[in-house]
Amino acid sequence: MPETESTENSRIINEKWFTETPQGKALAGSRCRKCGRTYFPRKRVCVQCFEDGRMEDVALSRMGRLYTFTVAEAGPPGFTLPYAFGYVDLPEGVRVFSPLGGDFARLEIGAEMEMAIGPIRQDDGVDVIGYIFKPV
Amino acid sequence: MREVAVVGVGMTLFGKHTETIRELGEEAVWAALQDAGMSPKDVQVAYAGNALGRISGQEMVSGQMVLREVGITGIPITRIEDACASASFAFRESWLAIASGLYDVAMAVGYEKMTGATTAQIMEALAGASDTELEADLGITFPGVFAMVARRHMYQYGTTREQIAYVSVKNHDNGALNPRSQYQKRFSIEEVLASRPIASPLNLLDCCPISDGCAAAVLVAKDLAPRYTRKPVWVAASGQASGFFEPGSDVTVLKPTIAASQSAYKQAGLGPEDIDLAEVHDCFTIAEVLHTEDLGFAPKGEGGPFIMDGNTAIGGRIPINTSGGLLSKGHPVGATGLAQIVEIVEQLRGQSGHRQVQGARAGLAMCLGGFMHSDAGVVAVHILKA
Repeated sequence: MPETESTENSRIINEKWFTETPQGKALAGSRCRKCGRTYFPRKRVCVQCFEDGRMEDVALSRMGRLYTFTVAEAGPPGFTLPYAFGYVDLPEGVRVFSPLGGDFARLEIGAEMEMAIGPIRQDDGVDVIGYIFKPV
Repeated sequence: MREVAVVGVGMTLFGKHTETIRELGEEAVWAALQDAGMSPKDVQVAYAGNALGRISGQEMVSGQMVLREVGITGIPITRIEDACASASFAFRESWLAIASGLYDVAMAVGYEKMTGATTAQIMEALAGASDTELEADLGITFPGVFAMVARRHMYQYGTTREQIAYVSVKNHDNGALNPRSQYQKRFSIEEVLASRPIASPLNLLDCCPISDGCAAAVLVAKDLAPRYTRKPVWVAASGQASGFFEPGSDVTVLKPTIAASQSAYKQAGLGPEDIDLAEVHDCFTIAEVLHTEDLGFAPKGEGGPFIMDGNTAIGGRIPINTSGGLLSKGHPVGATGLAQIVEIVEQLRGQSGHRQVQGARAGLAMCLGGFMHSDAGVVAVHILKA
């Protein structure tokens, strides 16, 4: 999967956001060993129980439910119109803001979504590779 | 805490200007000083709201550059940036500086220059009021933020697209009565729904325009008020709250608005039923629906029908955005919070002409800065009394 690595014509938006799993790249989060709250991206201090240094790395679920979304007909430079984005609720209790892909006509609140890796925008002719959720 | 009065207000026309922020600032600050009959040398401290210095060019120390134009120099001047609520917090810090007893006379000013940049550049700059790493860099836009809010509100409460569009109709009706409004044009619900799609389900006429402008207010300690005015307007309360960013939070309920308004109502000894008019942050039509609910004017989920039934029109139970709001009057980001204060002050003095709310004694101004992780970044709520 060449598109998951940075190349001359593409770069990963932030390597720290991802972790390798047998199923491919997943979002890299942190889970508090004391209270169980899970975060994306990784962090050090739990803001629910204020425990420091007891976070464990977790690979977040690649599946989630669409909380809300929009299809944008106007946007900043680098995005090809129209493009879609929304919030996806993961089973770990994490809400992720994400570009949305697939068939926009199938986007609806509550839809089951699956994470993919791909270009989300262009930056001076270079594809910026990030996570994208698509309807299953 | 000492009582604080607003004794002078001033603002430019909102819209597309050829003037720079210095020239806009000179006009509005001078107008506020003239309104108070005050010498610039009486001002002891100043706070300046500005958000998009990267667009206007004067990204740093713009407060000093603007106030220098009217001879306000030498004193402590601090610039405040809190996105769309920047000027609300310039007002709040001015109030606090006097209420605390540290100073007797303060100038609050807010200014923004946005036209001249492309719409794409403005959208990119404003996306900086989200989480830039986790949202803006992934494509979030502010029309998109409120489109996502609108979709949830429609889903959860059955709010209709027509009810949301009606906010634009009402506020353009009000703006047509305000000579300082960027737009003096009325629109029908059908025209809002037929305007260009921006971010589904919102269209162009659901969005505030790109604007230039400046607004200012002069505040003084109670014992000095009679020196400057026969009609002081009192700062009855100043509330501020930031986003809670709780996991899985309901994007249709802005807890910072609830927290800031409850704090303000308590300070003022008033409830939502005592407020005669309100200016709220209608950056997008759906935002006004949320604020109408979160400020306690309508029960949660009933804002759409409440507004559609005319309760928030001039002459209704609680007129909202008599100035035309951001949607019609315009939204020069760093000036907006003080333009709301200008409208409330003039209404409480009985100076609002054809859009006057008869017998208004208490007015509320609510402004929202930034939005990220399905919560507001920061909210200001001020209550003013005649």
